Amino acid sequence: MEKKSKIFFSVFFILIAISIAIMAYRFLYLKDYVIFLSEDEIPEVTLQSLIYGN
Amino acid sequence: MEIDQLRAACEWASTKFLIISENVFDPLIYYSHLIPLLPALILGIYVLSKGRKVLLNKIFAFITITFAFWSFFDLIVWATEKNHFTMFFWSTVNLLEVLIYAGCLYFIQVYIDGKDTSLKSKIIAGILLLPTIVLAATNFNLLGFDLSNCNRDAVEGPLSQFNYLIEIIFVIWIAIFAMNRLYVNKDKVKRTQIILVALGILLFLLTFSWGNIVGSLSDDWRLPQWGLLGMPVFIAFLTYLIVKFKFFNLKVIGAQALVLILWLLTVGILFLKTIETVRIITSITLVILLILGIQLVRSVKREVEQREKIQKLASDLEIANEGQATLIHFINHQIKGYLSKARIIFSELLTEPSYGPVTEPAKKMLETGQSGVKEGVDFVQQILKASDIEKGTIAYDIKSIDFKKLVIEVAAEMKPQALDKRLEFKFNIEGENFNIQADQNQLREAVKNLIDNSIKYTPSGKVEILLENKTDKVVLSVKDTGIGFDDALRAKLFTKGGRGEDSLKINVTSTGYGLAIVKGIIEAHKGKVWAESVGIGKGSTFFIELPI
Repeated sequence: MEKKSKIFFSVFFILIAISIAIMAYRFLYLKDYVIFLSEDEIPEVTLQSLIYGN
Repeated sequence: MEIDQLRAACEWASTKFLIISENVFDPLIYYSHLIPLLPALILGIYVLSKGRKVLLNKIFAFITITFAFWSFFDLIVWATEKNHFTMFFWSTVNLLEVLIYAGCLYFIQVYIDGKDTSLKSKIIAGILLLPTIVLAATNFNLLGFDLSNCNRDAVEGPLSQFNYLIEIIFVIWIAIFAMNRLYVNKDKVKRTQIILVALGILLFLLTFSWGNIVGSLSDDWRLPQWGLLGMPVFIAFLTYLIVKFKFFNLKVIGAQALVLILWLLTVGILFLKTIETVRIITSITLVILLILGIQLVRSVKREVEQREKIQKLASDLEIANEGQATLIHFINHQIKGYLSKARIIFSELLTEPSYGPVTEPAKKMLETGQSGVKEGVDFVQQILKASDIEKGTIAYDIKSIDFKKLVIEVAAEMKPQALDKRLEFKFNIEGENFNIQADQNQLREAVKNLIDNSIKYTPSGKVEILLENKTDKVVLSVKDTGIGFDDALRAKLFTKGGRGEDSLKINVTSTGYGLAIVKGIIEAHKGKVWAESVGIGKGSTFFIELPI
């Protein structure tokens, strides 16, 4: 495997590891997330709504 | 407070070992997760262990191990009653899922092209994956936890839809890549391999996507569980490739693969409770058994036919070898006869006065001729003897003999030969009682060959003979300062014709049969023969050990 590919994969796997670490920190340690108690509270957020607005 | 009350009202069961819980209402969920996970993990680790530095093996291990984590984390999501576990494992599952698709694309590219893919292709795939990796921990991935109606689900954000989109892009990329290479490649075997790998991967990814997309859109996650069985289908395709084409350079026979699959399916049935699901799984098992069974029977039939063919060839070869050996034996006997006649003629001419006076120059010529013929007779004699020993046609006349007396006589006989070469010749005896059960004539020949070997392969220096009594055995050692040998030659020393490359420079008349004869005779007396040397040019010591 050439050197550039090795650098690419190193960066790639570091990003994945950081992402999982942040998820663990946020959800398992801080328990930082919204709890929806009724269906009405759940917002309708889709790709289309993000792109074109609600 | 309100949340705790709602949670309590839901009466969720507690979970043991992360995955064992009554919350998993259908045992099919355990089956659909653990059955694909096990073969994937086993094959992934096995393939990696067989080629840790091979890129294709590493990619395959990445896919299967990521899939195993995906299945396990997904099972935790099904089982857990803890909100934060659901949030963490659900978001991780979303991330791992796209990595499996990217891994499959990389796998097929490297497999078909037989080399690493270009950096450009990696960067394009990396850019597609970047939003999923960077935004995995944000609200774009999961909006929150849905406690309404005791759902126990995470609410997916827009990133999950983006993930499905790039999964579809990866599937299309794989299909177009495989079709392109199929079009370009003309080799029939390679084309079959491309079709099988591409079909296996696409079936796996499509069933996998179908399961998740249907689940996500319909909010019913029971039916899509069957989508996970796409992995065993992929494994089955790969297993077929391993058996048929030695994929990953693995040598696995159909029987091994079939036994493993049947074992896993049978174990899987233990997870099922309802007779309906048992029927479904048994039907799948029967179909797999039918397909692989036919393949296995064919393969066994082919192997039996090949074995029979090899046995016949071996038998024919043995007959041909025997015929050749008999012919060589016969030729050697004839040559020995002619040489013996010639030796008698030379001898008569030299000694019998009735043939008239022999002039001095003629006498020298006749003596040279007589000596040459004698060497020829000895040469043929050795080959015939080694052949007889190998065939076991020598009859040993075993009697009680004094081995010390025998060695003294042989040493005395050989001493002039050593002195002629200006070698120092030493002979020592340690201990008493050298009476052994042996064939005197055969043993004499063995001892003579051993000493003769040392003298012939020692250009200068000395030859030392030592005879020792070691309680229940006698040991004769012949130590010389000759050409010695290395480890490579050690293995060949006592075989027929087993001489070193340099030995002919020292002893041009060597047959290479002398030590083979010694070994044959000594072993027939339940003894041992071996040799030691520090290295080439550093002398050697030959040993004979015989029981008392």
